[in-house]
Amino acid sequence: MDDLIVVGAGWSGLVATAIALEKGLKVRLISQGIGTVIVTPGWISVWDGHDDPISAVRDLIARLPDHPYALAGIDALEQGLHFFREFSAKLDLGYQPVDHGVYTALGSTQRPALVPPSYAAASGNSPLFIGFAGWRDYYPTLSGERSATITLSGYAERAWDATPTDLARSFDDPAFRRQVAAQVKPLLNGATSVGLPAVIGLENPSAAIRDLSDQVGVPVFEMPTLPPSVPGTRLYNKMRRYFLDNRVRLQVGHPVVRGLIEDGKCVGVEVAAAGKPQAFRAKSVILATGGLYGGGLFSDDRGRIWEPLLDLPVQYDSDRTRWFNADLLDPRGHPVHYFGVRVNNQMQPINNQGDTLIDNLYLCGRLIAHPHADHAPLPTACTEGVAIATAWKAVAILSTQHSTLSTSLAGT
Amino acid sequence: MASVELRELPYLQDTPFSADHCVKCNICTQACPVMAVTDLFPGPKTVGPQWQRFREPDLPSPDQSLDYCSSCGICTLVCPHGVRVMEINTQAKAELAEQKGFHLRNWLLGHNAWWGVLGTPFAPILNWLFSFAPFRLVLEKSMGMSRKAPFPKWAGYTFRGWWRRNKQRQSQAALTAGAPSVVYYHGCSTNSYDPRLGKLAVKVLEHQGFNVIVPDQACCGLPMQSNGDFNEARRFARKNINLLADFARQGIPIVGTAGSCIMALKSDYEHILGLHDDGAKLLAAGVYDISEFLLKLHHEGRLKKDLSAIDATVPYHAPCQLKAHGMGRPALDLLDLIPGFQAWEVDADCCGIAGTYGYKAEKRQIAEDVGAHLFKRINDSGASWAVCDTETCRWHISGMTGKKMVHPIEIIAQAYGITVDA
Repeated sequence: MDDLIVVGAGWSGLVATAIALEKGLKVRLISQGIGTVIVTPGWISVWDGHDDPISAVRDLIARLPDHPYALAGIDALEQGLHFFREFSAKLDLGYQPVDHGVYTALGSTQRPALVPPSYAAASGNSPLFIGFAGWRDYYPTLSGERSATITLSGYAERAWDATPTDLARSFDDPAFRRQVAAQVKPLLNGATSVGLPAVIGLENPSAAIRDLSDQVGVPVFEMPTLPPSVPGTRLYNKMRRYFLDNRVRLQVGHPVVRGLIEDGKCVGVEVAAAGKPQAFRAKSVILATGGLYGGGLFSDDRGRIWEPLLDLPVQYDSDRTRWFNADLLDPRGHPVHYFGVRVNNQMQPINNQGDTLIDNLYLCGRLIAHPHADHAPLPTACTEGVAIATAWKAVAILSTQHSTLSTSLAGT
Repeated sequence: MASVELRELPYLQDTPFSADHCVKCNICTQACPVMAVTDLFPGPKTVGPQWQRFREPDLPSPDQSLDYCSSCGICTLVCPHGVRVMEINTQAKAELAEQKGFHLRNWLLGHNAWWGVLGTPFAPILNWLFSFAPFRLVLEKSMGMSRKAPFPKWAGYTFRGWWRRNKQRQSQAALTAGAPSVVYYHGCSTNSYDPRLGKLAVKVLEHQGFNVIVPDQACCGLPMQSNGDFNEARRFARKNINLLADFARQGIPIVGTAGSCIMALKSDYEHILGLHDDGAKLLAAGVYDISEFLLKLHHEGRLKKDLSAIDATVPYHAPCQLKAHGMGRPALDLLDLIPGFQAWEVDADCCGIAGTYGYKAEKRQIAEDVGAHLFKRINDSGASWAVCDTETCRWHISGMTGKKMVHPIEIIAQAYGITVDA
């Protein structure tokens, strides 16, 4: 039997798996498809917009005891972020803190907490933004005053659009990078760095970006593209390899359709497999299935929202007219995005009275209810931070439970 | 706790309609192993859910590039929204094939079940001929059959022949009072090219105390389905349903050693060939991959524990069509029970051969490039052999790496001390 089943391969499921593996647990990760890592920029938002997000979260925890950050605790966030930095270094992705805004493709800046180094490599205040002729996913004129377009060899004659992943594979080739650098260099004209959409290398991005910067002569930095996200794909692919090399069972495909409950414990999950359902059993289960977008919550046109695997109680407003604010870009966010399942400070699901429902079941990430309050982060502005903090806390608790269990068994 | 709601609306599960779940996130696009190595294929999202909207039953297909889809099904697996991308594409490919009309090479590849049996008496000549370079060149030039593709060797006898000659084994087993029964589905490859595997499987099942039955059975139909001949594939599917569903009805498990054939019985009959009757559903629920079956016995405490140690660490490739079962990696979980033995899974989606895809001259290079990462990691591992559950993948990987490839059951048999003649 496995020590742990993690359901979901988005940010929180992948990070929980990595942490559990570090603690020596036998893990099975089951997911319907690949999660949101591949449609997000691939950086870590703790509380976007804050120069010192950790201090901001400390303040938040004092004010909002129901926020996932408060339930997981500041130590879980800090230790989780520390773990993720070291883990990403092991994958040759070396996420690092950033003390300035990073450029986006639309000419604004964002303030995530940890980024792959290529997002933070801009230097000076005169970047040159480079786009690719005929590529409809990025228009450099939207990014800043100084922009230019180059022609990528081999792409003009293609019958259909290139994807970011196609381009990233091309950038893994040194000859392709030489040809790009030769076109960019004459355009510099005093530019202090060069911004490109995040497509510089898939297998070996750190070497590709270093090489391109050397050849151009100024730092080259990346900006998030439209999906699929190459930085997210790099992270997913490298995590997958690391997991398989370390004997994690990774089952991406068929969905978990229910949790299996025996004597008040979650003893495993059932997968809607080909031909017949398949059951998998473990000592503990983590639900990292996401919120409404990720598929961890379902809704209908009558204003109901429910959790489909165990019918866990969802905190939500049953009046559908109050799910959305009038303004699409309302800075307070829309109430619907805050709905979720309440957990205690051990990440176990609780009911409205605060009673723990199942003590070997843990929730991570966007599935957890976020309080909708003033001066609190939008759920999208703290997604990865919450994923990491809750995953760290859940695995810390469940691994302690496992070792207590084995100690008491050894004593009998 | 209250009852759990239905997860999906049933009509959106129907293969063509599942396209409506697509949000164009492109997760399948970045994962497609074919798109990664060729400009000839615009990707699963484009030819699948996107072009599905332009496919009318009476109109010609909008684009031929669909033909480069290998039907490995990685798109369906990575889709977080439940779109049956590969199934949509396989159905559309069949319409494309129908529009194009008869294609000799694809017809030959689709009917390999016949050539296996018909060729058996002529094994020495055929094995020589298919390794004779000028003959392979003629096959490539005349009909587009890649001269680099690995043809299996005819064994010179069939598994079914061996089974018939061992009648007393059957009657003796039938006399074992109260022994539970299990049906062995051997598939075409085991029958004609690798009967040894079938004999090992029978003995391993008998070792668990089963009375093994080998009833009449047909090719699963997958090679015809892959080559767009759905009428012929359905004919074979119907045969299997007629021959085997009754066993499932009686609760007798049907166990196979060919991961992709078993997947056809489990899922393709319904979701690709569109057979929705009770027989198809009974059969789907009653078939097992042999590792899946043995692991189930283990979970029930019924697997024989006399597995002796094998000291080895080897790479394992989970074929794309085995991943499509949604049963995890039962071979790895099973092999973990052998003391001293460690198999680790390579981070590769597909070896590239995808059934008969890599046998086609115009697709051969794609098949080699798709598997390049897998071949490199197997070569770099230092192991002299590796494990894989499906036959064409084993032939392809072996041809590209020079390493010996074995089916998981060969290792289990060795651990039990079970041997058979070649």
